[in-house]
Amino acid sequence: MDITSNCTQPQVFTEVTAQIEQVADGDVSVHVFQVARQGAIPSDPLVAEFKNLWMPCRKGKIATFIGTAHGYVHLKSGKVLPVSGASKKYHPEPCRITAD
Amino acid sequence: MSLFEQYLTYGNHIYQEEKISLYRYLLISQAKRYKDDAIQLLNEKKLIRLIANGEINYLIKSRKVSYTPRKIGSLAFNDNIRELDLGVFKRRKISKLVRFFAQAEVDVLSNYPIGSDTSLPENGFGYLAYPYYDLNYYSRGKGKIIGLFKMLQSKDDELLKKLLAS
Repeated sequence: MDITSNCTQPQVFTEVTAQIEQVADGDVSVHVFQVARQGAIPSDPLVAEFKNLWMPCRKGKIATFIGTAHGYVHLKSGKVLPVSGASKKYHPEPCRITAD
Repeated sequence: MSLFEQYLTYGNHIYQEEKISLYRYLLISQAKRYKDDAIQLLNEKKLIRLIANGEINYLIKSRKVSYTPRKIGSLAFNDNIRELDLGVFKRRKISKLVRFFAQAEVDVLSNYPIGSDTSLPENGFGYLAYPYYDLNYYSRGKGKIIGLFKMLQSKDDELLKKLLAS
Protein backbone atom coordinates (compact mmCIF):
# COMPACT_ATOMS: atom_id res chain seq x y z
CA MET A 1 0.00 0.00 0.00
CA ASP A 2 1.24 3.45 -0.85
CA ILE A 3 0.19 6.50 1.16
CA THR A 4 0.72 10.07 0.07
CA SER A 5 0.28 12.97 2.46
CA ASN A 6 -0.27 16.03 0.30
CA CYS A 7 -0.42 19.44 1.99
CA THR A 8 -1.02 22.99 0.80
CA GLN A 9 1.79 24.23 3.07
CA PRO A 10 5.32 22.83 3.51
CA GLN A 11 5.49 19.98 6.00
CA VAL A 12 8.27 18.56 8.14
CA PHE A 13 6.90 15.04 8.34
CA THR A 14 3.74 12.96 8.46
CA GLU A 15 3.09 10.22 11.00
CA VAL A 16 0.45 7.59 10.29
CA THR A 17 -1.04 4.39 11.62
CA ALA A 18 -2.22 2.27 8.72
CA GLN A 19 -3.99 -0.98 8.13
CA ILE A 20 -4.79 -3.16 5.16
CA GLU A 21 -7.85 -5.41 5.12
CA GLN A 22 -7.71 -8.41 2.81
CA VAL A 23 -10.53 -10.70 1.72
CA ALA A 24 -9.30 -13.98 0.24
CA ASP A 25 -11.39 -17.14 -0.12
CA GLY A 26 -13.97 -15.60 2.21
CA ASP A 27 -11.45 -15.05 5.02
CA VAL A 28 -11.11 -11.46 6.18
CA SER A 29 -7.67 -10.68 7.52
CA VAL A 30 -6.25 -7.45 8.79
CA HIS A 31 -2.67 -6.24 8.77
CA VAL A 32 -1.90 -3.35 11.10
CA PHE A 33 1.29 -1.36 10.89
CA GLN A 34 3.15 0.31 13.69
CA VAL A 35 3.21 4.09 13.59
CA ALA A 36 5.30 5.13 10.60
CA ARG A 37 6.92 8.52 10.13
CA GLN A 38 8.00 9.90 6.77
CA GLY A 39 9.75 13.20 6.13
CA ALA A 40 8.70 15.56 3.36
CA ILE A 41 10.24 14.87 -0.05
CA PRO A 42 13.23 17.27 -0.39
CA SER A 43 12.20 18.28 -3.92
CA ASP A 44 8.56 18.75 -2.93
CA PRO A 45 8.15 19.74 0.74
CA LEU A 46 4.36 19.67 0.43
CA VAL A 47 4.39 15.90 0.08
CA ALA A 48 5.42 12.87 2.17
CA GLU A 49 5.17 9.36 0.75
CA PHE A 50 4.97 5.95 2.41
CA LYS A 51 5.81 3.08 0.07
CA ASN A 52 6.91 0.28 2.34
CA LEU A 53 3.60 -1.02 3.66
CA TRP A 54 2.87 -4.56 2.53
CA MET A 55 1.20 -7.74 3.72
CA PRO A 56 1.80 -11.36 2.76
CA CYS A 57 -0.48 -13.09 0.25
CA ARG A 58 -0.77 -16.59 -1.20
CA LYS A 59 0.95 -16.93 -4.57
CA GLY A 60 -1.46 -17.45 -7.44
CA LYS A 61 -4.55 -16.37 -5.50
CA ILE A 62 -6.56 -13.25 -6.15
CA ALA A 63 -7.55 -11.27 -3.10
CA THR A 64 -9.23 -7.92 -2.59
CA PHE A 65 -7.69 -5.21 -0.46
CA ILE A 66 -8.76 -2.00 1.18
CA GLY A 67 -6.41 0.34 3.02
CA THR A 68 -6.98 2.95 5.70
CA ALA A 69 -4.63 5.32 7.50
CA HIS A 70 -4.86 8.12 10.00
CA GLY A 71 -2.32 10.28 11.77
CA TYR A 72 -0.84 13.75 11.95
CA VAL A 73 1.07 16.05 9.69
CA HIS A 74 3.63 18.37 11.26
CA LEU A 75 3.88 21.56 9.21
CA LYS A 76 6.96 23.76 8.99
CA SER A 77 4.89 26.56 10.54
CA GLY A 78 4.69 24.46 13.73
CA LYS A 79 1.06 23.48 13.29
CA VAL A 80 0.08 19.84 13.78
CA LEU A 81 -2.99 18.74 11.83
CA PRO A 82 -4.87 15.43 11.83
CA VAL A 83 -4.99 13.54 8.54
CA SER A 84 -6.82 10.42 7.46
CA GLY A 85 -7.70 8.58 4.30
CA ALA A 86 -8.90 5.31 2.86
CA SER A 87 -9.00 3.59 -0.48
CA LYS A 88 -12.66 3.96 -1.34
CA LYS A 89 -13.33 0.39 -2.44
CA TYR A 90 -11.82 -3.07 -2.38
CA HIS A 91 -9.13 -3.55 -5.02
CA PRO A 92 -8.71 -7.04 -6.48
CA GLU A 93 -5.02 -7.93 -6.83
CA PRO A 94 -3.39 -11.19 -7.94
CA CYS A 95 -0.64 -12.41 -5.64
CA ARG A 96 2.47 -12.76 -7.80
CA ILE A 97 6.15 -11.95 -7.91
CA THR A 98 6.89 -8.92 -10.04
CA ALA A 99 9.95 -6.83 -10.76
CA ASP A 100 10.33 -3.33 -12.12
CA MET B 1 11.51 -31.66 16.52
CA SER B 2 7.74 -32.12 16.80
CA LEU B 3 5.37 -30.98 14.07
CA PHE B 4 4.15 -28.12 16.26
CA GLU B 5 7.75 -26.98 16.85
CA GLN B 6 8.22 -26.92 13.07
CA TYR B 7 5.17 -24.68 12.75
CA LEU B 8 6.77 -22.27 15.20
CA THR B 9 9.35 -21.57 12.49
CA TYR B 10 6.97 -21.07 9.53
CA GLY B 11 5.56 -17.63 10.37
CA ASN B 12 3.42 -16.07 7.67
CA HIS B 13 3.88 -19.16 5.48
CA ILE B 14 1.24 -20.92 7.59
CA TYR B 15 -2.02 -21.17 5.65
CA GLN B 16 -5.25 -19.90 7.20
CA GLU B 17 -6.72 -23.40 7.29
CA GLU B 18 -3.63 -24.64 9.17
CA LYS B 19 -3.96 -21.90 11.77
CA ILE B 20 -7.30 -23.19 13.03
CA SER B 21 -5.71 -26.63 13.48
CA LEU B 22 -2.93 -25.01 15.50
CA TYR B 23 -5.59 -23.21 17.57
CA ARG B 24 -7.40 -26.49 18.29
CA TYR B 25 -4.08 -28.18 19.07
CA LEU B 26 -3.13 -25.46 21.54
CA LEU B 27 -6.54 -25.70 23.24
CA ILE B 28 -5.95 -29.41 23.83
CA SER B 29 -2.22 -29.50 24.55
CA GLN B 30 -2.07 -26.35 26.69
CA ALA B 31 -5.40 -26.77 28.53
CA LYS B 32 -3.83 -26.96 31.99
CA ARG B 33 -1.44 -24.04 31.44
CA TYR B 34 -4.16 -21.86 29.94
CA LYS B 35 -6.45 -22.53 32.90
CA ASP B 36 -3.68 -21.65 35.37
CA ASP B 37 -2.85 -18.53 33.33
CA ALA B 38 -6.52 -17.52 33.23
CA ILE B 39 -6.77 -17.67 37.03
CA GLN B 40 -3.52 -15.70 37.36
CA LEU B 41 -4.69 -13.08 34.86
CA LEU B 42 -8.05 -12.70 36.61
CA ASN B 43 -6.26 -12.16 39.92
CA GLU B 44 -3.45 -9.90 38.74
CA LYS B 45 -5.16 -8.22 35.74
CA LYS B 46 -2.03 -8.52 33.61
CA LEU B 47 0.09 -11.34 32.27
CA ILE B 48 3.03 -11.69 29.89
CA ARG B 49 3.67 -14.87 27.93
CA LEU B 50 6.13 -15.84 25.19
CA ILE B 51 5.54 -17.99 22.11
CA ALA B 52 7.87 -18.57 19.16
CA ASN B 53 9.72 -15.25 18.74
CA GLY B 54 6.93 -13.12 20.17
CA GLU B 55 5.79 -11.70 23.48
CA ILE B 56 2.13 -11.27 24.42
CA ASN B 57 1.00 -8.74 26.96
CA TYR B 58 -2.50 -9.51 28.30
CA LEU B 59 -4.49 -6.94 30.19
CA ILE B 60 -7.90 -7.00 31.88
CA LYS B 61 -9.71 -3.69 32.20
CA SER B 62 -13.29 -3.55 33.46
CA ARG B 63 -14.75 -6.79 32.07
CA LYS B 64 -12.60 -6.89 28.94
CA VAL B 65 -9.40 -8.72 28.14
CA SER B 66 -7.09 -7.48 25.41
CA TYR B 67 -3.63 -8.29 24.19
CA THR B 68 -0.76 -6.43 22.61
CA PRO B 69 2.09 -8.31 20.92
CA ARG B 70 5.69 -7.54 20.10
CA LYS B 71 8.68 -9.35 18.72
CA ILE B 72 10.99 -10.51 21.54
CA GLY B 73 13.63 -7.81 22.02
CA SER B 74 11.57 -5.14 20.28
CA LEU B 75 11.03 -1.93 22.22
CA ALA B 76 7.49 -1.09 21.18
CA PHE B 77 4.33 -3.13 21.53
CA ASN B 78 1.78 -3.06 18.71
CA ASP B 79 -1.63 -1.60 19.43
CA ASN B 80 -4.37 -3.77 20.95
CA ILE B 81 -5.01 -6.56 18.49
CA ARG B 82 -8.04 -8.24 20.02
CA GLU B 83 -10.47 -7.52 22.81
CA LEU B 84 -13.05 -9.83 24.38
CA ASP B 85 -15.83 -9.18 26.89
CA LEU B 86 -15.45 -11.77 29.64
CA GLY B 87 -18.87 -11.43 31.21
CA VAL B 88 -19.45 -11.78 34.94
CA PHE B 89 -19.32 -15.46 35.87
CA LYS B 90 -15.90 -16.80 36.85
CA ARG B 91 -16.15 -20.19 35.12
CA ARG B 92 -17.29 -18.51 31.92
CA LYS B 93 -14.48 -15.99 32.22
CA ILE B 94 -11.92 -18.79 32.49
CA SER B 95 -13.28 -20.66 29.49
CA LYS B 96 -13.31 -17.46 27.41
CA LEU B 97 -9.76 -16.63 28.49
CA VAL B 98 -8.54 -20.12 27.55
CA ARG B 99 -9.81 -19.62 23.99
CA PHE B 100 -8.46 -16.08 23.90
CA PHE B 101 -4.98 -17.33 24.87
CA ALA B 102 -4.98 -19.96 22.12
CA GLN B 103 -6.09 -17.37 19.54
CA ALA B 104 -3.45 -14.88 20.67
CA GLU B 105 -0.70 -17.51 20.50
CA VAL B 106 -1.70 -18.51 16.96
CA ASP B 107 -1.74 -14.85 15.92
CA VAL B 108 1.69 -14.23 17.44
CA LEU B 109 3.49 -17.39 16.32
CA SER B 110 2.45 -16.70 12.73
CA ASN B 111 3.81 -13.15 12.89
CA TYR B 112 7.00 -13.74 14.89
CA PRO B 113 8.43 -17.16 13.95
CA ILE B 114 11.50 -18.68 15.57
CA GLY B 115 14.60 -18.03 13.50
CA SER B 116 13.21 -14.99 11.72
CA ASP B 117 15.80 -12.53 10.54
CA THR B 118 16.06 -10.01 13.36
CA SER B 119 17.87 -7.52 11.12
CA LEU B 120 14.76 -7.07 8.97
CA PRO B 121 12.51 -4.19 9.92
CA GLU B 122 9.14 -5.19 11.33
CA ASN B 123 6.29 -5.06 8.88
CA GLY B 124 3.25 -4.72 11.08
CA PHE B 125 1.06 -7.47 12.45
CA GLY B 126 -1.42 -9.60 10.53
CA TYR B 127 -4.41 -11.42 11.97
CA LEU B 128 -7.80 -12.80 10.97
CA ALA B 129 -10.62 -10.34 11.51
CA TYR B 130 -12.90 -13.03 12.99
CA PRO B 131 -11.20 -15.09 15.70
CA TYR B 132 -11.71 -18.84 15.86
CA TYR B 133 -13.65 -18.57 19.13
CA ASP B 134 -16.28 -16.47 17.35
CA LEU B 135 -18.91 -18.34 15.31
CA ASN B 136 -18.69 -15.50 12.80
CA TYR B 137 -15.38 -17.05 11.74
CA TYR B 138 -17.25 -20.04 10.32
CA SER B 139 -19.95 -17.94 8.64
CA ARG B 140 -17.39 -15.41 7.31
CA GLY B 141 -19.20 -12.64 9.18
CA LYS B 142 -22.72 -13.67 8.19
CA GLY B 143 -23.92 -14.27 11.76
CA LYS B 144 -23.53 -16.73 14.61
CA ILE B 145 -26.44 -19.02 13.72
CA ILE B 146 -25.07 -19.67 10.22
CA GLY B 147 -21.64 -19.98 11.85
CA LEU B 148 -22.90 -22.69 14.18
CA PHE B 149 -24.27 -24.73 11.25
CA LYS B 150 -21.02 -24.29 9.30
CA MET B 151 -18.96 -25.30 12.33
CA LEU B 152 -21.02 -28.47 12.78
CA GLN B 153 -20.51 -29.26 9.10
CA SER B 154 -16.73 -28.73 9.22
CA LYS B 155 -14.63 -31.67 8.11
CA ASP B 156 -12.25 -33.78 10.16
CA ASP B 157 -9.09 -31.94 11.01
CA GLU B 158 -6.24 -34.00 9.57
CA LEU B 159 -3.52 -31.60 10.66
CA LEU B 160 -4.81 -31.64 14.23
CA LYS B 161 -4.50 -35.44 14.27
CA LYS B 162 -0.90 -35.16 13.01
CA LEU B 163 -0.06 -32.46 15.56
CA LEU B 164 -1.43 -34.54 18.41
CA ALA B 165 0.38 -37.66 17.19
CA SER B 166 3.80 -36.03 16.75
